[in-house]
Amino acid sequence: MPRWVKAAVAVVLVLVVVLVIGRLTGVEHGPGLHGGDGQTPASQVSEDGATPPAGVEGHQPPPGVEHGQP
Amino acid sequence: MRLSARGRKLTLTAHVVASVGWLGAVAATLVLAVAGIASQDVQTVRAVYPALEVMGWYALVPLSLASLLSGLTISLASSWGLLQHYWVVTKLVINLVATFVLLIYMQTLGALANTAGSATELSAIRSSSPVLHAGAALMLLLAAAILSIYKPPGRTRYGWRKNQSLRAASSGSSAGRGRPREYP
Repeated sequence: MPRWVKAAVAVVLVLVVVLVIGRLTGVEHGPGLHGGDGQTPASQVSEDGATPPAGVEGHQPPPGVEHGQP
Repeated sequence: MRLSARGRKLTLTAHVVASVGWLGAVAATLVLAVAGIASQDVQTVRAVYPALEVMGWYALVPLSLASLLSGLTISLASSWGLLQHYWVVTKLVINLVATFVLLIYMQTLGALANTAGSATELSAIRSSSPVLHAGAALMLLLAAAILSIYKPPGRTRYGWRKNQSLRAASSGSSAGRGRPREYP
């Protein structure tokens, strides 16, 4: 095998190892980074990747219930 | 596979045009992607990601497939062969990997275009991902172009076996000797 092929294979292996390490250390990559299905804007996606459930609306209490009251 | 001299030239022309066109489209994609993360103008940033998606579906994907198909055809029709020389095999691997990643990445470009249409904040629209992917693709395609021009020597094991069998079959004739017909 020529030397240039060995060098190219070594570079590819290093890149693969870097990608795998990035994956294992939690660096996000791929479509999931941008909202996954393309329907959920990234601005509405929380840090854990979940969209806020309907009705929560920024932790507003239901009508007639004040903060601090049961 | 056998092609006439005219057919070989036509396929070679298609391969060069598709490959160089793909390289140019990737360079243009990189410019747009950099504008997406560097521009302070909201309208510009918002326009970049749908443009990247259009560029992907109507330039990058067709050109990559055309480059792959024409490359397969010209290598099988020429005396270089598809799996006989390391530089041809390396180009094939580069083309397959780049095309595969591109087809998967189109999903991300679609998501980015949707986000650009609905999000209001610049920070929610911007993404460095297209810059990284277009940069990596540019490096790969430049490597393929350099391989096409320099054609570094080195036969694969299959290439050696094939060459030996051709020499044995020709038994002293000049067939199979010397440098094969060149193509990019």
